[in-house]
Amino acid sequence: MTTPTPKPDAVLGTDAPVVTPTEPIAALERKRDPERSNWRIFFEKPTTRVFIPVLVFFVLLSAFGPLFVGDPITAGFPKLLPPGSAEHVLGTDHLGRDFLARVINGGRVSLLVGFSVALLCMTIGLVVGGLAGYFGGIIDTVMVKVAEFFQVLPGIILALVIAALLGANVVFIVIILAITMWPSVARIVRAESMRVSQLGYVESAKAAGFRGLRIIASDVIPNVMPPVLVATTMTVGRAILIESGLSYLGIGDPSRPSWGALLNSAQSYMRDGWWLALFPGLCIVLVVLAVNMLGDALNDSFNPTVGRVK
Amino acid sequence: MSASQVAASPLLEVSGLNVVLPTGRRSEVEAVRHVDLVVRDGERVGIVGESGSGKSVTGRAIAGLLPTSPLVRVTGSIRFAGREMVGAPAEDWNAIRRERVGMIFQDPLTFLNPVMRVGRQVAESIPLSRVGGDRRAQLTAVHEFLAQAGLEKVEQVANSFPHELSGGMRQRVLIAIAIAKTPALILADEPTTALDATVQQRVLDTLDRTVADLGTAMILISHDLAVVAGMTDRVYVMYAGRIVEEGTTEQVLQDPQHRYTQALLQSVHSITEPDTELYSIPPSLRRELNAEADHAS
Repeated sequence: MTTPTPKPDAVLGTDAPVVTPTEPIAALERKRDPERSNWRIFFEKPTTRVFIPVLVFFVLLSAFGPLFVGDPITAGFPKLLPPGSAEHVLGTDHLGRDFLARVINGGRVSLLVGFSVALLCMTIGLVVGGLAGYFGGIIDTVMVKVAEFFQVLPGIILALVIAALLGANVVFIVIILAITMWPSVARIVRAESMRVSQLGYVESAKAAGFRGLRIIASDVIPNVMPPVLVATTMTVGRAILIESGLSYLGIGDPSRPSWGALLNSAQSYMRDGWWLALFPGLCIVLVVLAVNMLGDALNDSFNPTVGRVK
Repeated sequence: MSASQVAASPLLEVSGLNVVLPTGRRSEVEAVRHVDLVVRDGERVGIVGESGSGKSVTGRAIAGLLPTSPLVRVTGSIRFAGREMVGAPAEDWNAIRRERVGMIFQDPLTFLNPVMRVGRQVAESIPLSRVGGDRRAQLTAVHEFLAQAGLEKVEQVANSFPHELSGGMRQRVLIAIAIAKTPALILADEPTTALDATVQQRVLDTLDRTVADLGTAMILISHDLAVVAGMTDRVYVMYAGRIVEEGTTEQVLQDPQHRYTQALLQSVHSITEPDTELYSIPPSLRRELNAEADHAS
């Protein structure tokens, strides 16, 4: 491109773009500063600035909070004490246990379950869905059948059986939830991978002589991430809520009550102890909201084809 | 096969190539019939023909990029430097595509990965072993290839995502990716069809110059006789899946032998020359040509 250009430097300053008539590089320079990394874009978003602190707060609270509060299962304080007193900031429950300690310890279980399940589901979903969608044929058929098998497994019955055989334990709950929840992520990955595998750049990668697994890793999976990230953040919320359901059936670890368990036991005391439902409920809502919003923001910042260029 | 035979074999030799593609549950079409084609080292060969003439299918077959389905049947022979590729395992095809054949496709946007920066996509064609395992040398090479493909501000381009570039720039990136492999053969399938006319010529010039600089052989597939005329040494004219005429580009354009080529040239002239009525291939000639094609098979 050797189109003569009027000296733009003299007119527009030193960094002014050289404008060629047919291929406007100028547009390129306006759009994106290569120095600005995806993470910076992510952290500069208003949603991020609001919800990162929320999430960090809950994570820190769950990680270190239990060190500073009393034992969540020691009873003996006045029963159903409303929140506000100096000794019991959030009051006490129907058995006279310090509710602040219970909420903080509950966060540990709930967050652990939510994040571990979501990560496991995303990993399994990407592997299974990516292979099925890209290769198709017999691999696809087998993977879909396997996913369907796990999807129809009655998670709650399975959990009951495992809890009866091996005892109630957070690790088992995480595994059971991941086993029954990954197919929904895998389905999204598979559908998207099938679409992406038909596109030019995948053919281009084939034409470049790359092998299937390499193409899945570098061309297919990065391009299916947007909906997968959103689905994963949804999974965090769903896992937290399903775990509460399991706790309700008594499959949760009774010595380590989760937010879900607190919420469920609060049902009987709605009239006399509103705070028993309010605080764990509020915690669940805030965490699930923060995770979903951050998932969206993450998607917007890391997917270069979304939004940003106007 | 002895060493002298290998040395004597042309870069690419296609003979008796047949491709059958499924068109429905029970129907299929012979998209390519008895195609013979030779490309020697450094030679530029054009394949022209209208839509559906089988030129792109031939190109894809040569790159081993037809769908791997039992319904797609490729028979005949495709030899790279004497090595038979029809029926070869996928791994052999991958090696050929990695090292010998660079492809340039029609639509530059869909053929670039939208979430990978352009520089990395070019870098994927440059094995680290070739630059002594040095990432910095690889990056320098990326910039050089982008510059060679006629791009300015290469560092900035390398840092961009495909959608941030114009159509012409993207096509130049595809050229850079194709030449970065330092292939023996570049297969360009309608490389400029998706671009507007002014950009077309510039991209073609770049392709022309780059191929000349590197001494790479090229197959240029196009429906556009004018494009092929300026850039190739020899040309094959395809109609209904078979080659109806071949020869040096000059000879075919000056003195076409086959009625289809004559009609094709006449329709081009009717567009480029003033005061001429637009000519399109008359239905009677079509019927004759089709009957001839069916008869021959």
